[in-house]
Amino acid sequence: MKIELCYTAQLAMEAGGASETLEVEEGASIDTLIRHLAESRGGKFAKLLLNDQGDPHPTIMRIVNGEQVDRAHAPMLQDGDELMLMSPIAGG
Amino acid sequence: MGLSEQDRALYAWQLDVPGFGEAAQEKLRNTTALVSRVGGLGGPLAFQLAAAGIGKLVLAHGGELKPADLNRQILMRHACLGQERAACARETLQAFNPHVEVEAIPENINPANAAAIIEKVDIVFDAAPLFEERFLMNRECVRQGKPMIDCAMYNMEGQVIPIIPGQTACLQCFYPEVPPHWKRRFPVIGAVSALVANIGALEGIKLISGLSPVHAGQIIYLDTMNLDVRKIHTQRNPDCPVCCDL
Repeated sequence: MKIELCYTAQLAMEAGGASETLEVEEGASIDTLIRHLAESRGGKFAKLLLNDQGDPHPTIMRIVNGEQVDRAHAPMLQDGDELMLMSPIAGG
Repeated sequence: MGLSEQDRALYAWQLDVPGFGEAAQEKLRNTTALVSRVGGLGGPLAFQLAAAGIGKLVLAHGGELKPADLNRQILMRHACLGQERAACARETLQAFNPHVEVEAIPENINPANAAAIIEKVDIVFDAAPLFEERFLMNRECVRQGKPMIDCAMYNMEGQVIPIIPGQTACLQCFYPEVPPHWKRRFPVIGAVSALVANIGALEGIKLISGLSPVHAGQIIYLDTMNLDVRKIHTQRNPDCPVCCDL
């Protein structure tokens, strides 16, 4: 299935762009997708996505089709979903 | 006490905004707001609150003005280089609107001053560049039941989050811990931080005056590179270490 990915702030800078389309397995979870992105890209992008234990970082906000979703109870992704991964910002 | 003739003259053009009458102007005049800090984001935000006729501004910002501040910190002036930022901001605001009371605190929000400063205001505008400061204000606002308009930017993007304790997610519902990769220095063009500031000021003015519902429970996200504006629906975190008991 196809997922439209959007990145913000530091994640967008490290990804080299704010959006991309990714082909993923049916029924993939957001955690699975984040781990896949980190493993396939590596570098600072991976460090922004995963914490020292290798788990998706809790400060990256997940937005599915315009709705923020809870980390613990996130829905499975569906074909055509837009997943926005928001990097924490505090510029003032 | 109603508006004076001077108030009517000063704020005549905004009194013409449908839904924003004398009662709304009075609410603004009777409000004290904290703006922390008054740099590229908090500066233009405080400026708009002063222009709109807020009663009192409390500005919290430590340190002295440096040359690298001047691409965005529009309350400052070259003549103030090396001087306290908070005092310079106060001077600019008082020259612009002498009818607004301005208190300048030459300190950033910290564990020793957060509770006392927030006790004397009605609303908090968060424009601090460090999550530690933001978390302190968030915690105190939740404890004291006061609204906070959280404003933040990075590069060409920005976000505004109106936080109403007990009704909306608080800042730590989104960020359960200090993000380890956030750095004090961030890329910024002044026009971007000012744009985010103006939206934050407007959300605050709407909340104070009752002009219209604020976007409570939403993140207002802006990508100024593509002129993309989104309203993201949020949810409270039932396990939030700060607001789960409300």
